[in-house]
Amino acid sequence: MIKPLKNLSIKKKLISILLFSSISGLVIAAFLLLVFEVSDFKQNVQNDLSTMSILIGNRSTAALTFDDSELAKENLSSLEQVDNIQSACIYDIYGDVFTSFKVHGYQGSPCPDKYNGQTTYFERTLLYVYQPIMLDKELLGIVYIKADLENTFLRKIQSITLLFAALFLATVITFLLTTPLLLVITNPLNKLLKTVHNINDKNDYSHRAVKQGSDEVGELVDAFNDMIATVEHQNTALTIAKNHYLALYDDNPTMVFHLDVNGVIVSVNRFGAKQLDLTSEQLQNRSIFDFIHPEDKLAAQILFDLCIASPHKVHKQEIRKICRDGRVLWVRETVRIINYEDQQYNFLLVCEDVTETRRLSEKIVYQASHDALTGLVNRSEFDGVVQKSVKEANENKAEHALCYLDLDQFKVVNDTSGHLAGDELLRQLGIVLKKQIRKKDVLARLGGDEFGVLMSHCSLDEAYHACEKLRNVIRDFQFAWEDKSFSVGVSIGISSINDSTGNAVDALKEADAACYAAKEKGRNRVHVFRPDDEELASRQGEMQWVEKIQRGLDEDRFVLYGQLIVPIADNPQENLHFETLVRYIDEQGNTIPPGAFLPAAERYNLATALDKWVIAHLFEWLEQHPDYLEKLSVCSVNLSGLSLSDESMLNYITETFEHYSIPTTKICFEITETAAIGNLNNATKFIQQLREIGCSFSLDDFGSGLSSFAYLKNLPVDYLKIDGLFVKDILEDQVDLAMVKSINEVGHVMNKKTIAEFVENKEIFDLLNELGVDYAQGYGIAKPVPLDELL
Amino acid sequence: MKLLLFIFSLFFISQSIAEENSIEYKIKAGYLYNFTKFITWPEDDIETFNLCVLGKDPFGSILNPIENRTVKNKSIRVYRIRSAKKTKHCHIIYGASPKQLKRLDSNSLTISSLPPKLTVGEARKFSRYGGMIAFFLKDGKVKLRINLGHLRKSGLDISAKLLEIAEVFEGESND
Repeated sequence: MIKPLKNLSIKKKLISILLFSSISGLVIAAFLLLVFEVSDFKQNVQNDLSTMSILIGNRSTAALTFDDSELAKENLSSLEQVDNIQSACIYDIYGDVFTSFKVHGYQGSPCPDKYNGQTTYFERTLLYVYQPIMLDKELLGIVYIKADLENTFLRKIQSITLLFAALFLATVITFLLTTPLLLVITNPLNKLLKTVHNINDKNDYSHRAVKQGSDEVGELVDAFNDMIATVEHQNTALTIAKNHYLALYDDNPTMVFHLDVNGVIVSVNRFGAKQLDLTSEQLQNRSIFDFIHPEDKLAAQILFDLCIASPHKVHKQEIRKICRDGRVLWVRETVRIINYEDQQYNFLLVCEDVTETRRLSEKIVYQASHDALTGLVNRSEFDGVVQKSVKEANENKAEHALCYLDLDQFKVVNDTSGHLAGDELLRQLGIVLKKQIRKKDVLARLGGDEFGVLMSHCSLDEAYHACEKLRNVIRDFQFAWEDKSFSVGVSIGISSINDSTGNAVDALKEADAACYAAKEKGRNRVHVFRPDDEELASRQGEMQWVEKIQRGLDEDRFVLYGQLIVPIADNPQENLHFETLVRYIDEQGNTIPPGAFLPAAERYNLATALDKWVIAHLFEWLEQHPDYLEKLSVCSVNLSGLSLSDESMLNYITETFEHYSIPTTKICFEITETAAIGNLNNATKFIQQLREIGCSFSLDDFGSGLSSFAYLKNLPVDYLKIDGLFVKDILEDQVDLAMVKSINEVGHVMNKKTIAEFVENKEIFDLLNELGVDYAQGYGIAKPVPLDELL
Repeated sequence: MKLLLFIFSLFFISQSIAEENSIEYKIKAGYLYNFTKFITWPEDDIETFNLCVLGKDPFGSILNPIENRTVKNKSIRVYRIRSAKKTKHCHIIYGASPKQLKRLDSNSLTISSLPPKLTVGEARKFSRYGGMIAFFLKDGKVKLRINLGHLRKSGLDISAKLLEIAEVFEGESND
């Protein structure tokens, strides 16, 4: 009976209990009432009738004793008025009927004919009373009364039913009145329950149950609130701790993966997911291999296998990851095994994004091997390529062609439009050339205006034709800069790389030499190097000069020459004036002009040493010839651009002056316009310091850079040497004449003396005289001769 | 049981007596005993309860079994007496003649220490002579006639129940 109650609400349980107790109470009460009432009634009736029978018996003693049945009958007839009685008899001492009586309307015999010793008993609703009649302790007879209580019973039951109905009504009313009182119990419980649901549904532990009384429920509410307060406190602390660690995990600037043994992603931090352009949820249950670059998948698998093979080690490698949007990330992976569940191997994979580092190092590698301006391979990389080709040619008996390209008239662009223009030209030419060569060929910028091309598996004939094509392309290329248009030429030298080629340096030297030869032959042409080419062999290009200059300085293989400079107008005060020149005497005793070795000296940083050698030897010669020094008005010495910015040069010059006791006023240093402009600050300082001690300066090759007038104001020089290119055609070319004239005038206005170079004949001399140029120098006046011949 | 035995014995005895008289006197003998239950005698010093039959004894041996019984713890004695003078100790006197009845009355007045005497006789006129209870036959049944005034004067106490079954005669004359 209790089981079905278990799942009912407390209110229903209470109602059920109330109902059950009320109804059962009612039923039991009704039952007991009925039983008691009936038995009580029976007892009463029995008592009443017994009493009556006693009375009748008593009264009938005499009648019995003296055999007066009439009287006895009379006594019995008094029962007529008594309810329920149907009949009555008196038996005599022998058990025979003494007298009998029955109520009016009663059918049947009033009593059994014989008394057989019965006592009073009930039979259903019938009551049989047997009452002995005693007199002085002697039995006289028996009074018998028969009563039918049916009607009375019915009345009793009716009245009890009525009573029960009244009681039921009272119970119902009581129940109805009591039910609202149940709220006193259920309400606080329901409110507590509602709070619990609220907390559960919203996960909000700030809710508190409201206490409504100090009973057990009230205590429960207090205890519950205390508990929730503890939970809230701990929950907050946990949440903070969780967020803290979650932030450490999610915002950690590395990708952290938790993988199962098959590489399936169990979890990943937010940063990691973001790096792959996905969310953590999207990545779950995907394979890590879906995000590894196809070329690196094998490496990744090997790394995982390594981890399983040696679980206690941490393994690292750099691989590429592929993001959802196709981006490639370089990451440094660190993997280790973690035993997570059921002894199943799990991987902890941490990836650090090294894309930028990789990119930078790739850039550095690229920059180290490429030319920043043109984007072409640079000299050192090209050397490597050539080296490989030589090796390959040696091993496979293959033939390659090495080409050396040197631009002609490039200097003009640089000088007239500035370095920006020159740079742009080089860049454009790089693009043009790149289009002309085969894919497998390598085009490099070797420095300045020089390019190199390695044509692999290419005969000399083929290379020659290819280079002719290159030459034509360059010649036809029109370079526009601002409002000017330039065209340049190229001199190309070709050497062969084959199985007889010794090494890369030889091959480069040969190409360089061939290029030089092309220049010598008049520029803008292609020259192929041949081992039996004697002319070329004697001049192995600039590169061989590095060693020769060094040896020349050590062994004094250089000799000093002088070329006289004469005043044009008749000027008797003017004494001797010459420009010091330098020549190289090779092993065969040949005299080599400076045009062969000066560019090499400039390029390989030997120019300053050569300048110092010249100054020392000139001063020594002057000291040895004091008479000539006495006659000498001024002597010019060339200084390279590098010497102007060499910090040791100033000291060297002053010390040498002191050492040889040469008057400083007799020395004039010649610097080129381009060298001066290239290092204007240094040059100005240099000039000023030497002029302070008495030296004079002249600006060489003036006019070849057309922008030079502006700088002239800032250069404190004494002489302007007008570029010979203008002077030699002065008779035929009106432009040249105008140039010389204007340079001369500007020079004079600025209080400088002018010197004309390349004065080759009397007509030029006379014209210069007319123009008012101060000095003249050239083959027409005096050829350069060894110093001793000047005496 | 005793009662049954007694009744049985009474019935057994009657077999030996003449048929008509025996049943009638058997009933009368019973009645004599039964009177002791409805009539109360005052306390006296006599040790037994004495039933005296005056003159001719119509009962014969029928009366004898009465002696087995008691009245108020006194055993009953049956005396058959000739003269009324010897009735001083009697409680019940049966069969007194009208003359004897008169003498009995005067005796009882003079000697107060003696018990009052219940006088029982035959026929209705017995009560007219001063007898207290008279047997008479009616419809074949033995009936009683009681002289209530006389009975009361004698100092005996009679139960109303006895009165109910009897004819009550209120007269008091002695003639």
